[in-house]
Amino acid sequence: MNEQQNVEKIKAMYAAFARGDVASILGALTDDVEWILEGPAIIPFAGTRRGPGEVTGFFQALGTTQTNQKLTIDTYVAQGDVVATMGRYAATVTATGRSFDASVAHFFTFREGKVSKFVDFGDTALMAETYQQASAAAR
Amino acid sequence: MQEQQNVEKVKAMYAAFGRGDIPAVLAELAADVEWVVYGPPIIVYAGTRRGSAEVAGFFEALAATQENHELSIDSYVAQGDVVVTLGRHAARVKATGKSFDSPIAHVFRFRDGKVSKLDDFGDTSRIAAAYQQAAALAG
Repeated sequence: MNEQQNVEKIKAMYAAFARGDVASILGALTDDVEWILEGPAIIPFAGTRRGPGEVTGFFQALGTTQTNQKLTIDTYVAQGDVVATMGRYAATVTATGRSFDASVAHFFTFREGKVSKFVDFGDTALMAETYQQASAAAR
Repeated sequence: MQEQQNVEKVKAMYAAFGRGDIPAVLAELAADVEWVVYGPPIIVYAGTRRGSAEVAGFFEALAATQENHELSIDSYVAQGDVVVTLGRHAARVKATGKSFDSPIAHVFRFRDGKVSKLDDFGDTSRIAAAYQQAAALAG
């Protein structure tokens, strides 16, 4: 089994994310990758994207709306073609100045050495609140 | 490795939940289990519980506030002491009549053959919306 290789690839993708090297991440995806975070539209990086071109939009949405991003992964669980991870993701939403720090879980499915599916879990209620303008919340 | 045994235990817990046999679920937990469900307080079963007695409160809150439960698990990922599952949880909130269908991820950690920690992820924004009274939204 190539579980350990898959884990190393995921670690390399997280390292690329930490240094802002989105091109390296996109290079690890299949052409038909499915990239899913189910959440409300106020979270600009939520939704379902297909293909590296659309996934670029995920990272652009993160990069243009957040600062002080910090992703820490402490658990890797690999079996067969799947790697599941768990950790925390913290950031400040630039437009509102509000911060969140949420537990996250990620599911990566591999096909022929590339990630063909990514499913992202976080506390979407918490993240949505951070994107909510104070004026809108008070309305 | 005991990964397959852990997966079988998790499947048995889901089956027990499916038939409403909560004591069978609680019997699989360590005495000091930590049971963490992410989400805001409007989701009445969200929060951190410790010990089987507090976890019983989680199942009571589910049963008291939801109907037409449908829990479907389509992926099990196991390595070492951890089993991660991926699926969907659909239900209707009795008080509001609103239904939701949320992706879920569960992270079970085992110690000495019992579950010592559960992390429960979902689209908390969608679940919270189902608990939200229309009057509160308009107010």
